[in-house]
Amino acid sequence: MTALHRDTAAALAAQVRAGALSARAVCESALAHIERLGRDRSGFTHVLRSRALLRAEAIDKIVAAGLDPGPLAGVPFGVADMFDVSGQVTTAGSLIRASGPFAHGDAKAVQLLEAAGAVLVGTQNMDEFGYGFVTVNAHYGTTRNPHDPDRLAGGAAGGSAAAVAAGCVPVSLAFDTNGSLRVPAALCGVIGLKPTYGDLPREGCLPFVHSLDVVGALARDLGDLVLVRAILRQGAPERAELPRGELRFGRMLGWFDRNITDAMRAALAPLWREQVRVGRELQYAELARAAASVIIAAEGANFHRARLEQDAMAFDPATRDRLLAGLLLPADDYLRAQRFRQWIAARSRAQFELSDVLVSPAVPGVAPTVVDPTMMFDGAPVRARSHLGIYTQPISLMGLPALVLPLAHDGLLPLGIQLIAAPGAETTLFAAARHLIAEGLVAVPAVTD
Amino acid sequence: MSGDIETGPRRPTEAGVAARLAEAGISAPVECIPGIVANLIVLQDHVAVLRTFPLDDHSRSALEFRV
Repeated sequence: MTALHRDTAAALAAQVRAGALSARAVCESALAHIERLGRDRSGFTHVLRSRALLRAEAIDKIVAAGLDPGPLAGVPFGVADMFDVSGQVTTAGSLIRASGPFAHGDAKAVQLLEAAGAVLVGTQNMDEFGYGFVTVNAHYGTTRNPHDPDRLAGGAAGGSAAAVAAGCVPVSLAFDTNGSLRVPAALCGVIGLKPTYGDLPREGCLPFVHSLDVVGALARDLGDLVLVRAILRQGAPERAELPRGELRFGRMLGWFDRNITDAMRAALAPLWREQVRVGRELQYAELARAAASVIIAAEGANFHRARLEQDAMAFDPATRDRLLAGLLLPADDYLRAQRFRQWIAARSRAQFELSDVLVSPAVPGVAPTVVDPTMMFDGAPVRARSHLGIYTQPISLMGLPALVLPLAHDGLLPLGIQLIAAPGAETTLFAAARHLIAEGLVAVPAVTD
Repeated sequence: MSGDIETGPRRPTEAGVAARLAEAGISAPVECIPGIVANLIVLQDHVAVLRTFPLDDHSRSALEFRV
């Protein structure tokens, strides 16, 4: 079968709207590819075959009636398994919730994409409750990196990034608490948007850390990501204007320039040389990471306390012990972390008086291997599960939007950067990304079957 | 500082963590204690970093610019 689903979302929708391609054929193609790859390589843990085919047929009937199904007509998409899907259990990667409750309706973000014509084909693997950077899940397996199945996809939303990179769907919806979609986007070589806190609707998503969670999206094509964001925002006005004149890129130094692998440093060199005029030292980044870790441990533990006490052994051990440790954090330290967050979030705004976009690596290097899920940090090997997000965590704490892009380079494995802008300045991130793509500094690597 | 995370050379122990869980009214299987200790040590390091920051209104800007 021809891989009909491999095109961009915009191109697929244009063909379906024009009647040149049936939504059912696109859907069948995507489902066949997911099945062919299997759970670990497709990123999908639950395929919604019946629902997807019914939905696709409905789209075809709308087209046949001479009506317009919307800008995402017939586009297959997936969601991390923390978005509610009507009649399904939202497992969030756990067994605790596997027997229910069943969701009464679809998450708001799912509703909005389907109202625009898209077709939900399944839910995707993640670290249990979103607590980790690896997508090594004791219950649902390890999601493999589409560029090298012996390597990690990254996490927590590794299934969502792998599904896009592997060509199962052009778009996935996921979440980002502390780097949850940015880390796997970087390791799998796709584009990932972590929006400003509160920018996209979270209704119907299982929370992990209420004060940090955001809904975001992953895609292979920048235009698709822009389109999906616009649909999810329902026409809300932009909060920031595009800068006048040439965009000013600033390079993040200090914390963001430490622990970078040689491969990443070499791949970044053309970007620094050709686009960046200033370096910016963000002091207290280490404190920001520490504060984010304390907030996540405390809020995550608080949210799951009842389940932990009821049946701790049903949790993934890697999640369980972290959450139980979080229950022992003094309230004073949690409040200190939140006060620091207020302080640094307010001061981070000043960064954007002299730069429109800040640039840093999204991860230190290429994906670690599955058999040895470690990385080097300050000269010592550490667990990738807790350390792959060293560059994403401080940005989450500040509530800033970030866009992950794959660097164009000669290596075989993806290397991702993150562009960071002022709150509400997502359109500036998109303009910067278009510029870097046009300059040949950024490119989404292809995955061969 | 009863109930506080120990800093400096004092590190959580399995016996200490079991006692703190009991004092806090948290029931956790004994098999979890070594993992909790390991994760508490990581959190202890984060807390130690966080406590170096003087939270007052006169803190200088966290941001420095250099060309």
